[in-house]
Amino acid sequence: MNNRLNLGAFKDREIVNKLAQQIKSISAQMAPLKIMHICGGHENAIVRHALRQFLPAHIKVVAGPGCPVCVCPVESIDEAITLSLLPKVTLLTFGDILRVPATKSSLEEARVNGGSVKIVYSPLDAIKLAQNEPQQTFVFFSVGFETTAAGIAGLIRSGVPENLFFLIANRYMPPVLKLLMEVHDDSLQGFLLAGHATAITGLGVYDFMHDEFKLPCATAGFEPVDILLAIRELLKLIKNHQHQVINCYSRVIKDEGNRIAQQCLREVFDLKPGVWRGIDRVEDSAYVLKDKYAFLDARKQLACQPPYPPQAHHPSCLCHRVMLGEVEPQDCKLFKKACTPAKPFGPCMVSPEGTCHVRYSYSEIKIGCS
Amino acid sequence: MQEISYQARNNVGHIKFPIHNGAMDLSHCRQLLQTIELAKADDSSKVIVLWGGPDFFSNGIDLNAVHLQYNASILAYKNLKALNKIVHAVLTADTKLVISALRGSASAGGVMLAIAADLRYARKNIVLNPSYANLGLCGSEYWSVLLPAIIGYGFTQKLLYEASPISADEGLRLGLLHQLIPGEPDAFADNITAKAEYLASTNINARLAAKSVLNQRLLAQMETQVRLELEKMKDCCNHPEFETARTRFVEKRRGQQQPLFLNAAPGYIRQINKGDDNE
Repeated sequence: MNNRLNLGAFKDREIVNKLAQQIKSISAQMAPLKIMHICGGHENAIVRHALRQFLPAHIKVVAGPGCPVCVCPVESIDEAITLSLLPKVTLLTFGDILRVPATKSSLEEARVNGGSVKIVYSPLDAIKLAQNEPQQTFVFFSVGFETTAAGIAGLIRSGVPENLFFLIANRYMPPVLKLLMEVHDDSLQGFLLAGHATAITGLGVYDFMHDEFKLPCATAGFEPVDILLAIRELLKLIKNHQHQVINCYSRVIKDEGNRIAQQCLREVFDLKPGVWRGIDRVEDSAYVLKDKYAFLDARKQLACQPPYPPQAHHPSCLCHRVMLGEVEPQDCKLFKKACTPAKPFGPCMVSPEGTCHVRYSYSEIKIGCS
Repeated sequence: MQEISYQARNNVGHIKFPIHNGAMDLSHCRQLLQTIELAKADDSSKVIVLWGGPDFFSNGIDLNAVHLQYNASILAYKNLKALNKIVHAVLTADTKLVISALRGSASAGGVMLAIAADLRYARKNIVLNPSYANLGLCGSEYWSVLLPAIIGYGFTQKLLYEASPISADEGLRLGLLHQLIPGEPDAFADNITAKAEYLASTNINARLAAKSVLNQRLLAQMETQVRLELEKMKDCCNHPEFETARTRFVEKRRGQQQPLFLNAAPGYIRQINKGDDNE
């Protein structure tokens, strides 16, 4: 028997059209409403597959602060740059943070200016590099949400070489939803939750959306059928005035999440107030190494303070408001003019998960739908 | 911070909020809202007196606290909404008559808080500054319902666009205030307390019935108008004008204070703008 999942079915045109029809009929009698997703992967999939064209005009799906690279505070990139310029220190990180502009330069520019920066594809690569060059100091610059943080936590718990340190800039998603509710008042009617991050945390961490805000949430995968299915289910909840957090990505997410990963996160990290780039300082949203792991903390063990104050964004750049879902990329006067993927002004134009980058790359796609 | 306090005596609930400089941050707003809700729920009082503080009645949101934040726009917006809730609580106090007793001056949202009350008494020497524009904001706290209803569309235009402070006498002439009470602070307090106790004990039901009829139209507009106000306020909070005005206000840079409309003489304004350009 073949148990392999047929992922092609999640892109099936016929199913997509059927879901679009169902969404149309569910929302027919509904007032205009706005749903927010909080995952850069969702924005990428929505725009790449032109899914907004399958939705009725009065159903708006807006992008929130779901791109991990975009929300990484400029202060942390400045620290990473400072570290990369120290003698005998090599900074290791994932590729998509490299070109994000910080206060004076990006990591890529720092590399051109003599900084030692290497791209890794897995934190395990960092271990290998550190083992192979014991005379060199390595710093892993960790950016991302719960998913990345869990991997780092597992690595740290299992032990790392003495010459490997961590510059942690990971963020925890649930608290930022409270900020979004404050900024959007009562104009948001539901959230599409990030698939991968929720696979770690489980659904329970979003119960406050039900208790405090009476707003439904649905987890969603990343294929067209996943996303439209989650939107359909969310619309049903909204229509019936129900406020549950539901799982529409059950092939990956267990309701209780990944207990082992949660245990690792609890053991290695504390949650402290943390800056989301340009957005705000959000309570309990920054992963910080626990005191017992202070010996691995680059901030405590190495001189990473840059000799200049941070500057979050260019005065004309609206990335922070794009990430809050307050404006669209095209509302920014730099978009597609001064700001392009080749010469980004703000973080959202850098990462393939950044709203501006996605819209720049795929906005011309048109799909005729029945 | 001095305590925001509530005390009920002789059918009158007294709310005092002597906040430093009259500038209310988020926690002040939350505390004052709780206190007003407590007073509204207190069956022993029929009249509520909002005393503000001895030096300032209220000056609206705390721009110093806002300015220090990572994202001042978001905190300003949160602060405005918190103040909105207070004004809303006053406007919807349908089982109490509310009196504002202005011992000191008021500005911006503080003026709206004062005029949300049913009766408004002030000391003679106070100043009202109901303008937001000088700080790069268009205003919230239900001004777009309250001001036109109280002083009319024309005077609202003048007040909002010129954004000049007005004296207590002018406030009385416009109808923002109902009476100016001369004398020392103690005499003012005694006078207001006597008025409040009289109202609370004399045909209060009839007065409250009249209030509910009078306010009906105003209350019906509130939801739509406040949404509009907040929409525009959000844009203002994110506009560089707000940042510049706020920085000038908070840092009190010498020679960089924004010229007021009152001083709008051609030479003076040009001189100031030239000074700005030279920096």
